[in-house]
Amino acid sequence: MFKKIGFTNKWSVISFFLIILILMPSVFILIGFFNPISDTWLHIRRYLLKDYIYNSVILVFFTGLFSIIIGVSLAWFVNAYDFKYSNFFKWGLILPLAVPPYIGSYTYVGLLNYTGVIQTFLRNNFELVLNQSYFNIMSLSGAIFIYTIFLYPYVFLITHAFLQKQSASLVEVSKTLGKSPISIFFRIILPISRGAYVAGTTLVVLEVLNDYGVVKYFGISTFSTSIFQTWFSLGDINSAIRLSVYLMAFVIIVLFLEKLSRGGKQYSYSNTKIKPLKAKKLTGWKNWSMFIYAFTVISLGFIIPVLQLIYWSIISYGKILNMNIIQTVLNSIGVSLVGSFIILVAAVIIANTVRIKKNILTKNYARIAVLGYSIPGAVIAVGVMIFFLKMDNFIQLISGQNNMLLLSSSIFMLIFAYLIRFLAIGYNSVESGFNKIGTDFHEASRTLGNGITKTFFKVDLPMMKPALMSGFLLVSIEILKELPLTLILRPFNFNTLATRAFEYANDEMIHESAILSLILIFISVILVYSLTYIKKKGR
Amino acid sequence: MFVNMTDIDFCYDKNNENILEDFELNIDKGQTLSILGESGSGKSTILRLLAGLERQKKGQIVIGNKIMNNENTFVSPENREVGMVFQDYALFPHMTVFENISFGISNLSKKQRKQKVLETLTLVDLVDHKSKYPHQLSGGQQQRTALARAIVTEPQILLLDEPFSNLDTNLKNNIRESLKEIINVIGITTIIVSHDKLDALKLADQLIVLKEGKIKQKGIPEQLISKPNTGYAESILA
Repeated sequence: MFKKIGFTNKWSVISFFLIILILMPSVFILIGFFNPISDTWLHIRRYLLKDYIYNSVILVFFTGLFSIIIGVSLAWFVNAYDFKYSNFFKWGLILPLAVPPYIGSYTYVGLLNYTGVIQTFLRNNFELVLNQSYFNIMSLSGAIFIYTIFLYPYVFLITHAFLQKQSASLVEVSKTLGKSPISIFFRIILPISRGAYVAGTTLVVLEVLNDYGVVKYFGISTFSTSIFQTWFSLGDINSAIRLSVYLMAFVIIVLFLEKLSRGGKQYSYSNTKIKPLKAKKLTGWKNWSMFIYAFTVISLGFIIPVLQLIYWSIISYGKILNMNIIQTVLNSIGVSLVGSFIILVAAVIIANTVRIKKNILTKNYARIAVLGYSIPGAVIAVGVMIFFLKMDNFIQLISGQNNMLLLSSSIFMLIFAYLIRFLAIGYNSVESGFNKIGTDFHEASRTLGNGITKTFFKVDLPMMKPALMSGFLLVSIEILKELPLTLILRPFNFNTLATRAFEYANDEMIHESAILSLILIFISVILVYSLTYIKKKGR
Repeated sequence: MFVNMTDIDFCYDKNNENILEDFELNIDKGQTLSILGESGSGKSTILRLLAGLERQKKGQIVIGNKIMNNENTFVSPENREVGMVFQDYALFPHMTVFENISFGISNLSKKQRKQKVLETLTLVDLVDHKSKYPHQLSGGQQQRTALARAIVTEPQILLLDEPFSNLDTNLKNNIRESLKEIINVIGITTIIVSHDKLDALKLADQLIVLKEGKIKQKGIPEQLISKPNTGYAESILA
């Protein structure tokens, strides 16, 4: 029986249990959906749900649209043209990813408010006192600006990588057919890169739906904020579960639309000789306008917020620089290292099983492993909390100690939630590493008398170190910046840079949150840079 | 029969058609068999089934009186004592020639291992290259390293999947000669998959022509080449 479901080695057994574990929180959410409806839910459904849906749709649609415009245009410009500092922009334009949107949001609020740098400058130098509503960023359109400027790099990154590999001959043949650069962009580049920018935009949209920090700070009601509110302020877990299911339905619609807009539009080259595009050297106003465009985007998404944070840090470091901050930094680094390690181990076990045992069961392993990234943090938090409380109930039943909350008050719960949410990132890196080395080396080792485990450690592992390192770094960055899961599931008195920075900002102590935010951004920049270095070396 | 495949059905994807259907194959001990056929005819699949890298839907595989695979038994690749040379050699890029060859005999003592690897290196004329990494070797040297790695474990059968496809014509002729010599010296039962009739002519005692998973013609290479019995065999053996 065991052999029939694929239990032929240790790898498939462990994978099976990992997959079951990953599915558990979702199962509990689904079961919870059928609990009796409460008065709170009736109130939410009647008066609030419409707002949640409206706000989420507006945020998702416009952030997606603007991210495509900025991400695709910049990806094309840095690929096709050689303009001032274009080589720097190739990786510099990724830097806004190092700034979590919630940090960006309170930085911009501080910059633009009455006592902020901009209004103070206008008052002191030009005696200009403008209408405050011009500077109010705490609105739906403000949130769209924040999300776009800090999340567009997802579209930029994927489209840039795609265009880098594109056949130069397509552009060259268009030129010989008399097409202008604008015509080439709209008739060739946009259609062929559709799959890439749709994938990038989907990531942006999923991040928007996952976000809690920006909308909470701006006072915008979305599914994320309402799940928190229903659960913690109203104490109604069943309604929180219902909202989670609605949010998941929203996510499924997004993923369906992604599939729909990509379906039938996947172009591939008819020959394998793909040479990179030779960038055209720009001079004069064209050179400067490209530079100004790219520099404006990077300034808004990185330079301006970071300079503001540095300024605030300088004026507030005396108040905040103490032993607690070191502890917070160590917590952040520790939890992201341990979390990333566990995620990578799980990803390797599942991906290796999928690679070696190809059957219907393992095909679904791959789907389940990447599922978590599309589930917003607040939903995972609800599911994981219920799952761990059930396990604690079970432990209490066995041990006879009624007040013991062994698992649901521990760091394991948080790490487990990270595993579900970020396994997709680790899994994709590991899978691409396995794809790159193929199966010949593995099979050669097997025919030479080595089992799966020995083959993995002696042959596969040394050959896919770069892929594993990339996966580790990517997951570390995500855990470091993660907010909603950490806020809900962290053990009592356990703070990370993200939670502390957010709490300070939420308590109107923006200056105090600056140093923590800066440290977080600094570590993220190092990780992002290491990642691009590894990828460059790998090429 | 030393190698015996009986009544084999195989397909890569359950929804697809069978690559092999009711396939039968018998080889005597010490014999060298060449399988010729066009791409997709199922010739590499036969090697992968013998090596245990794939499992058939139906039928039985026996190597040296031991059942390797049938409805109730499956001997995994690491326990089959089968040596295989892959089409692109699959030399481990992070290991030297010496390390690549000694990889399959790590159960032996260090001294025994060294001695055995040196003997094999001498056989394939690669002693001077033992400290090099695969990327520092020529195509022919890479091929001989892959061969050495496969035979050092003293397998029951040797499987060669398109062993000359990555070599240029001049090199092919030389390597064929030395491969024949090595196979003769160790007297191993060998199966060579190829689409080049010269491989069969120079190396094999027996030849089969394969089309869509079925044997179209079988016999001694010289006879088959002079008297192909179908248009397909003629085109393959031309």
